[in-house]
Amino acid sequence: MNGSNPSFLNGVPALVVLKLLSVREMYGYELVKEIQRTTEGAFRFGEGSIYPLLHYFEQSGLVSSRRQEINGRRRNYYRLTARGRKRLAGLRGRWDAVIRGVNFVFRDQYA
Amino acid sequence: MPESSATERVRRALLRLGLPADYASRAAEEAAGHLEDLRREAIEKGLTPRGSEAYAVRAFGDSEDLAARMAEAVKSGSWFGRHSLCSCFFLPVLTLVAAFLGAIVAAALLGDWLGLWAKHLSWSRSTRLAVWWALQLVYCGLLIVVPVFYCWLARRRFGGWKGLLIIAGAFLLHGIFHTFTISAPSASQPGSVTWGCHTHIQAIALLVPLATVFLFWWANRLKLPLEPLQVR
Repeated sequence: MNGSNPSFLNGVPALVVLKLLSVREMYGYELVKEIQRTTEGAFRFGEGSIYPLLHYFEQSGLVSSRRQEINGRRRNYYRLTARGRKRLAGLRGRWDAVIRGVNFVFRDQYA
Repeated sequence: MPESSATERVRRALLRLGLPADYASRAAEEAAGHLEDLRREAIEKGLTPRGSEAYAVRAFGDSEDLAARMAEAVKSGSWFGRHSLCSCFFLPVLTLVAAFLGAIVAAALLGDWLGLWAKHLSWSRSTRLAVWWALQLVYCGLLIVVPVFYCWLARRRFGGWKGLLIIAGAFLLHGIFHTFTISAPSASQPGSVTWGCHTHIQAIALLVPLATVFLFWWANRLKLPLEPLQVR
């Protein structure tokens, strides 16, 4: 997210990537474009930085990958595992709690 | 900087950080695919081939920084990597001790089951020597297998040389201060295994971890191209 405090965004990239991978399997470039499309460009980052996150998820068993060759080009497709779905549900619950809390602060009496 | 340089920089940086060659190649391949997609995207937007390469490299981000973050991702993605002091320093030596004691207990149970211990007083000297050699071989085998296994694991899961060096350090301390001594049988005593602190240094416990680190380092060095790294 452009110009934002990184600690404030702790866990947000993981939430977004896991959510998108829960819909369908994707390779790195495809995933970056999907993030840019669905967030309407709210996130800005070096596109290569998606790979450390994906590799971390893979090492943690949250996603699995398979290699596929399409039109002479090899791609690594990542998909969410059962463990990843569980982590996504946990992150989603925490995110909802944050949103509820922030919305409460911005309700009428503080406006 | 052309795309191929960016890809090669990722691969070389990962090898220099001590990650396995297959992981470095896979990461470089992913980077190359991504850069190619970015380049095609730029051409569709109307950029020249030269401009599209520059666009792709810029959008992809800094290769050295990316490699460092990949190494960190490998490390933090596993319990071993997150607890590197425990997994590199304490666990290898504990594994060695547990495996050797386990081997002795297994041999004792097997010998008991076969009824060997009931007649051990009547063992010939050559039989006693054979048992002594077997114990020595198991111990030396473990002194080789355990550090090699943990160094391999460190490269795969702990993301680099630091883990390997800590493992080597742990075994060096073990080799200097903490050893099993297996005494050969003689006319007056049947031979023994003692465990604790000793003043004599176990050469194999010192050399194997160092040799293992050196071999892994050398294997990675062979994968690196000979020309020096270009500094941007």
